Amino acid sequence: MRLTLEQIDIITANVHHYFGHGAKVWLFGSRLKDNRRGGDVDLYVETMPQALMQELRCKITLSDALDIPVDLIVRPPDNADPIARLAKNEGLRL
Amino acid sequence: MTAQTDLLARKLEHLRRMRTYLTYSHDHVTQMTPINWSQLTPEQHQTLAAFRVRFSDFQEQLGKTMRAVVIEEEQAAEPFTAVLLYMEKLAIIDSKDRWKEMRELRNAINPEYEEDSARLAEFFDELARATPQLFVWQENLEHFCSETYSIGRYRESPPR
Repeated sequence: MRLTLEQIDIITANVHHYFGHGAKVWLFGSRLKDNRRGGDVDLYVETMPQALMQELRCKITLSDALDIPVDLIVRPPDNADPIARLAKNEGLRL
Repeated sequence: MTAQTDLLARKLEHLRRMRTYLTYSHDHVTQMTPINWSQLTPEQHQTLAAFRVRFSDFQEQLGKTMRAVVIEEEQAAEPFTAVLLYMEKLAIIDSKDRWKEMRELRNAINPEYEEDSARLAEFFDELARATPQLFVWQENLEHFCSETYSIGRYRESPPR
């Protein structure tokens, strides 16, 4: 995984700040692959439905704090979209 | 007038033209609120699609014009956050964070693919709410250019 402990702390702290401490977050995509370079940070967050602007503010804060583009997907716990299965089955819970 | 201020004047003129298009779409969209997605006619879908594109294009052009001002002022124009910080300093925009929110907003949802009608309504409500703020920032930029370079809409009788 190509994130530092400090970066993981930034992600979890901000996800909990914007969505509450019950929110769960997974890292998925290219940042899990050690043989790659660069790339966005793909995050999947499982939480109760959120206001659109709240999601956008979290994404902006994370992108600015990490200085890396962040792709943030926010879905409720019962979501059965393919991206939900992919992120939770193949991703890493942070 | 220098080549750079001539370019700036053209960008301001372009922005004014784009504003008339966005105003037209915005007026139509606000008449449709609250948006009931399942009841929309094809014409109303087209109105929403045009509004989304015009909002994006207007903010994009406003950003390019702000960057041209920053270059004229011989300030750092890269990364774009530097442009936003300078615009904040000149009180042309309220906050760089609000600008970024609008930029994220316009790309947040693709109405052609989104299936959640409540989300779509929320998306267009937020775009409609943000539009007047973009217009205020455009006016602030016009005033600045009028006072500083004697170009733009208010060049003959600056309002402040």
